[in-house]
Amino acid sequence: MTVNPILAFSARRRMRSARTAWLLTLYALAVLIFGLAVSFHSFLGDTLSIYTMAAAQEGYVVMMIFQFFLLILVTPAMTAGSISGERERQTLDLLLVTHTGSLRIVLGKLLESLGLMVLLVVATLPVMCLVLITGSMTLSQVLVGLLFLAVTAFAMLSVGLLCSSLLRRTVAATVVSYLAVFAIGLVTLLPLIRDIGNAGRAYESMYSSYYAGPTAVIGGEVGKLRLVSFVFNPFLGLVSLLISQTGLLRGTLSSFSYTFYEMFDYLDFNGMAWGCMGFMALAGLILNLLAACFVRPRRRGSKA
Amino acid sequence: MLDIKDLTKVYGQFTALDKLTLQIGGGELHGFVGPNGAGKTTTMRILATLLLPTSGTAAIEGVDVVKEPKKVRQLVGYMPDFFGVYDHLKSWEYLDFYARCYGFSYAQRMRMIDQLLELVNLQDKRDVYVDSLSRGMKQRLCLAHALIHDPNLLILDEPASGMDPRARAEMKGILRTLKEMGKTVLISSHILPELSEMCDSLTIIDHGSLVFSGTVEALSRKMRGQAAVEIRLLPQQDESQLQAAAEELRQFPGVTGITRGEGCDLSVAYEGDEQGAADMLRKLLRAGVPVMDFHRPPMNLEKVFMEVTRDDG
Repeated sequence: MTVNPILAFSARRRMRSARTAWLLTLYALAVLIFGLAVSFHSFLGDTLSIYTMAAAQEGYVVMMIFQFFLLILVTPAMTAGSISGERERQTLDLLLVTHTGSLRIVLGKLLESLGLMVLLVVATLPVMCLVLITGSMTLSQVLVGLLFLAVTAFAMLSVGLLCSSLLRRTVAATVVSYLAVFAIGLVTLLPLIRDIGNAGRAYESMYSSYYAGPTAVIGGEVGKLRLVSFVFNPFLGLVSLLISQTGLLRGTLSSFSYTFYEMFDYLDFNGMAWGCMGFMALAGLILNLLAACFVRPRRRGSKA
Repeated sequence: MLDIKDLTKVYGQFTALDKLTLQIGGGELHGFVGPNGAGKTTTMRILATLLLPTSGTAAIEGVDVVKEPKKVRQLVGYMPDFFGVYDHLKSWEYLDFYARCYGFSYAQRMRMIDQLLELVNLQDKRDVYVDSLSRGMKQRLCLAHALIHDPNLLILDEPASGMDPRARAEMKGILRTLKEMGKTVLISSHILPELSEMCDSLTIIDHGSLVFSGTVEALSRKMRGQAAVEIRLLPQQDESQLQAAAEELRQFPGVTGITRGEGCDLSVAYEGDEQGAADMLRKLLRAGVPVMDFHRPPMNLEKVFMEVTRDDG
């Protein structure tokens, strides 16, 4: 089995362009400067206390959120030009007459962009690992955090790729993929209202049948509640992950709805975070398969 | 080798190809001519499995392009009229990329890349970035790419467009080599003379329909049949003498019409062979017509092309 040529050559071309070097440098620099500015000033003191540990954790949380939005800003544009760009450059036909199938083209493009995204995230590893100095988190936790970012990038890239295979022009594909990412974020946020209601009811019935305990109310084996919006909305998924890792953000979440304050201990944040990663990975795969269907314009009456 | 039957392609209201039927034999260098929008590119894209016909069939070595596109791609090398190249990629990598897409092993690729670069005279551009090559070089490189999987049929859509005469000559040389290698080549152009020089046979299409298909000689013969005889009489002839000469000509078998040109020029529409033309001249001289110049103008392919593809609209 040889390496997918689309992947190998797109990556080679990407790494040869000066833009990539700039992107990588600026991205890592942005995360570093932001991280230092926000909380790592606590490392500058000469004593290590419980406060510096908390500050380091806070820094980790803030940087994860910062990176999350930075990735959303960067990713759709990465793949929005991958298929439409080949069309515009008039190289797609040359590819389609070879033995390479549509799926292979799509996967090659996707993996190449994902590779760059992972490189971006990994490049921030040294900065992210500053939190390890205080001992308030473990390396595996940081790595899971970066995995979450990588999976998010995968899903966003897939959105861009589908738009790119559907639309003729890169500009249109870019605009539509940003709008799509925005829409997905908004739509998956909608169940939150119902979730709050459900959680509230669960809390009330839990309170009324106090002796039965929360397990009986929710009925699950784990005995903790999972909310739909936290699984499907990538940002809430990230929040879940950060809560399960650090225990922070309780105040933030509670200020949003008092129900969260009451139910905080009964929510399965870890499960929801992994559920969200699973959802994004699955959605990404489906989007890619769809994209592969639209690469070959044979059935459509395209312009001669 | 190539068998097209009733091939039709309709885009909405526009019929790009209208029941095109065409056969091309193996080892032929076949020219495909027609004005812009005649349906050349549409035909070629259908043959290259990039487009589905609305109706009709096309088969390459008996393999149907609609039913078995994968097999056809193995048989066909395609060079589109407009194509792009990747930036940040060297010439040899460009070929290596497509060779990988065809699934060749490392050893095979390294061998073929050098051979192909040599074939298209780009050995010395091996390590040059593709986007810095000249247009003609890019076209040759693209031709090399179409040869990677050693196809029997080459479909070249306007391979010489935008080339300077030197590059054209080079392209011709390469095509001749390909013919010697036993390849069948279908090459399109909207310039007939360019193709008639190097092709064995020609197909002319217009508005999606076949106008002519056959050898270059057959085309010349067909066109020569309607060709004219140009006669120039000694100047300062009076009207009566000109009338007499015209009357003499009109009686000659094969003459369908006479047009008066400038001064003492006569243009005779004549359907007949060379022998007939010689007889005509002898007859004129016997009749005492002062013929100063008598010749048949060479077949003007440009004119022929304009004639056969006349705009109806």
